[in-house]
Amino acid sequence: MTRKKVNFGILFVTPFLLGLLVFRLLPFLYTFVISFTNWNLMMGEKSFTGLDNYKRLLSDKNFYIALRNTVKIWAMNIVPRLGIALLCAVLFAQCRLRGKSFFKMVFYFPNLVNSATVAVLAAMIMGWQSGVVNRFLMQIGILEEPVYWLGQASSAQGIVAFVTWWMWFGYSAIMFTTGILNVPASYIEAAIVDGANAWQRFWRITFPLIRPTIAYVFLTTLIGGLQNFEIPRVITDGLGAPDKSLLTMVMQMHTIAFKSMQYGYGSAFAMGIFVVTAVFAAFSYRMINKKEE
Amino acid sequence: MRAKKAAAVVLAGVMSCTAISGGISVSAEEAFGEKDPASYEADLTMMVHTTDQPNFMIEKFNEVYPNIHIELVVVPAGEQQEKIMNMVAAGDDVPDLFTSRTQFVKAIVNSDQYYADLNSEPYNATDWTSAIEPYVVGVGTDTTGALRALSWQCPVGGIYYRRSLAKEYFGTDDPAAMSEKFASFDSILETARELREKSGGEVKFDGDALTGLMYLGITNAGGYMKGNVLNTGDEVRELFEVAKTMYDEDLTGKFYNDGQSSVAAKGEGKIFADEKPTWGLTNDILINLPEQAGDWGLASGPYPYTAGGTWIGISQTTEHPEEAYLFLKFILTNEEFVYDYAVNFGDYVSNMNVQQKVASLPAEEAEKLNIFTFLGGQNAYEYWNGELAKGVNPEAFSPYDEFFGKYLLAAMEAYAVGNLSLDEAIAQYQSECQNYAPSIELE
Amino acid sequence: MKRKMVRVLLYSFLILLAVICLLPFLIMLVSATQSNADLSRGFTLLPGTWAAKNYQTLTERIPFWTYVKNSLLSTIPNVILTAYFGTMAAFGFEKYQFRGKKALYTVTMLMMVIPAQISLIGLYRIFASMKLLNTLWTLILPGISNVLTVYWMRGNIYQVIDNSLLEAARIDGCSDMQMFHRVVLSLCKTGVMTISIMNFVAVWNDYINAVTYITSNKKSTLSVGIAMLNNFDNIDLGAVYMGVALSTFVILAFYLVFNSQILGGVTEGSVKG
Repeated sequence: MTRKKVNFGILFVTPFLLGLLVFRLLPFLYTFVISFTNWNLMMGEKSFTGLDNYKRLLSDKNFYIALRNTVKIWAMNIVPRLGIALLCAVLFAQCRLRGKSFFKMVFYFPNLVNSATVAVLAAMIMGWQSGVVNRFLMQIGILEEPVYWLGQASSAQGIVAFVTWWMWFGYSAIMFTTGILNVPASYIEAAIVDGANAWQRFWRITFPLIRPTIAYVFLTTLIGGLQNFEIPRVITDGLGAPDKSLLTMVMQMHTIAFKSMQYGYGSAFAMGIFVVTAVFAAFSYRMINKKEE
Repeated sequence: MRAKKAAAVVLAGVMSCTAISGGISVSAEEAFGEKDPASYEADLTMMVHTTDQPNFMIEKFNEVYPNIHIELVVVPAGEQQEKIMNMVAAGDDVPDLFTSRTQFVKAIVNSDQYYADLNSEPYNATDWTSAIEPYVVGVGTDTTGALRALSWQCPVGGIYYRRSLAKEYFGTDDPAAMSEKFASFDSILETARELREKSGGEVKFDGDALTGLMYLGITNAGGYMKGNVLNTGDEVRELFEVAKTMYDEDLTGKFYNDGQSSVAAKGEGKIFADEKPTWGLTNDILINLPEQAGDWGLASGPYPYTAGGTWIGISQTTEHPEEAYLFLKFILTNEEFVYDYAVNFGDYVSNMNVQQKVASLPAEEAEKLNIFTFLGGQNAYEYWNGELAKGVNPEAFSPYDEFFGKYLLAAMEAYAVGNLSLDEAIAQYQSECQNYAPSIELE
Repeated sequence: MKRKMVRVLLYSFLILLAVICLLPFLIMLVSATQSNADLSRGFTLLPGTWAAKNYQTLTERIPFWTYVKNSLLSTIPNVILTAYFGTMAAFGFEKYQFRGKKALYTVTMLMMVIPAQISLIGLYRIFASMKLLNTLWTLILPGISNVLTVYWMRGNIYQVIDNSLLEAARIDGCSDMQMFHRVVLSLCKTGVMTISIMNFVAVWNDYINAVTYITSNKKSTLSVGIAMLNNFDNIDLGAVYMGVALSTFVILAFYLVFNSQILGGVTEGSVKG
């Protein structure tokens, strides 16, 4: 576009950037500054302590445990989420199916519900002694005794991953669908004329062209996954049990900052989360973009 | 209000005490809080986490002080502590009155930033705090002797048990006999084993041996903290052992973190007892198992204990100290109100005069209290009075009770189900607590 | 034959997914009709008869419809702000050149990485100094700076708006603002609608921000109201589920309305040269 006396580009991005400054950047800097203090609301302390919080962070077992858990849960969730979402999107875009709009709509429903509610329902369904799943499995004879799903680390994490998947796969499917539909029809038609079948059409034409969409969905899922908080918190009442397997990074930060009122250390912890997320994101971004060449 | 001062003074001298119960003496000189009730006009805000009881209090309060309007601000229980602390730290408008739950009340009381000192001018609460249960006053007092908060209730504990099951398996449902069976943790285990034998494993002693045990034992152990040291002494370790024994020998329903199953099992008659304080009856058993009215009894556990409960205080920055104080004093000392409250909610109040009154009610009057009928006619007040007489230590409350309690339960569970050894479980408990409050010391 | 089998497989797969999606809603709905005493023992799939009573308890305990109103009053303006300024910023980033654009955009993307929790303390202070605490503005204004929307719309603008369109408009005498309103906003309608639904859901369901910045009961939002219900001393599960069910219905209604807009537009968007 041509430059004008008043560059409208700047004008257009200004309100957004101003908002970003006030509502994101400033609070972020505030947190950054606090992370160098020992501010603790319960003790009433507030003095500058330099890098103490960060030293504590680096030797804080819980930070690493939380990191490992968060990544594990995310990993368990990402493959089914992207896989199924992509599959659905392709089906919707390329196949002639009856009831397409019905399915599309229904798959998005889970995203509408409050995550706290979903967590409560999940806890109920997977309950040890009287949860539906256990009762059902016992009735049809697969189980003899109810299994304490939420009491063992891996199954508990699996449940959280599943619930997260349930809430978000429809969202991802919509993203993918839009991406696929944005592939110019002419390319597809040309491919059909060239005799490509559905499978080939997808892998040779569509997939490469929706790479940006996939990248976007992957990145947002990554960032969202690393910040997974509400669901495990409600299920475990903030404790991350069993055996801290459901302790996620943001949950631990929340407990430190808002429950034990250690704002200083909590801010340092938050900075830690930020760095981890930024590293993961940058890494993934590079990987995806490299593939393009 | 200032303009009406003169008229109020005259009125106060003229009016008699009939409208105002509680024995406020009328003097010609104007004392704090002793003007004509109708002359007080203010709009107050009160922060709470639940509304039934506050609504009742406000309704009754307005019958005496019609022009003091109180608006409730509800904050979810889990957010209360941080909300108050944040508001004060940010210099925000704090509500005139606000409640604190027992689990964190010490954090608020020990600081001089939140609640006003009721012992000092102009409140001079020492005039009447002798009528309030001593441990309540003790907990509400900070280390400098300032009284910052009080509670209108005493969540004293015991062990509720099913009368029909007691008769069936032990031949009696008499509370005194049951108290003997629950007199120590060893005898509780014996009783639980007897129950298992006689019922063929059908009926369990309790729903989850964790929370119940913690309630039963932690107050006697001295609380979660002894001074600034995290309490992991023998009494605390005993709780771990009992929890494990009950799990290993199948004496408990094992409904860990599963309140629903616990209630369901109680409904089916598979659970014999429930170790809970006063609100366990009113907020849990009575509401969820209405069909079992009359079939529950109340007996003593090994030690007297309290758990939970709500406190109230006046904000330091309130612009209406007098009116706020009137409300606080009303709900604590106005015996007509306190009695109404006790009857209405079945709650055990902290006003000792009313405690006596309810405990010595004749049978026909006692029948009106739903909790007495639910307990098959047993006068729970008599029981609770007895427990308190054994003494509750106000030092057994720490600012961190809420989270330390959760961490303790998690550690007990890990040990009970066999995931951790005792030393590991204690170590886990210690590290979580220290993570939460880095300034504490470990034994 | 093979084709038919594949189709059957595909349909079963889709139906299975649909069932998984819908089942919890069914449970929620049924639970809303049951009494607290029944619910506290675990749930069944049979509907109960306590719907009216639950509704009564619900409205007695919290000012439910006030909360719905508050939620709407904070969500809708937020979504509009986001859509408008987000698209505007995306337009600026995508179709205009200016110094520092790349740097600014990178910073913008970086902001996406910050967990919302971090901002809580700082924002609380900022709102306090702006005297906006305890107003719905705390939930509305941050809508101006929604990074996800900018990212999304930028991609959308890239796909949908050809430079030639803009040139043509300019030749016709359109100013930049007019271009934004007449060309961008109308052609990207579908994209805007799509991201707006997502934003609507996110803001409607947001709990942590609402509970931190808003203290007065009259101004709380629905997600906070339901949390309150769940935290009373004598929880009435029936009322809680009724609240949740109703809340979901409201948002479902919005979704269905939005969706018809999108579905209409999606097919449009795909047919272009």
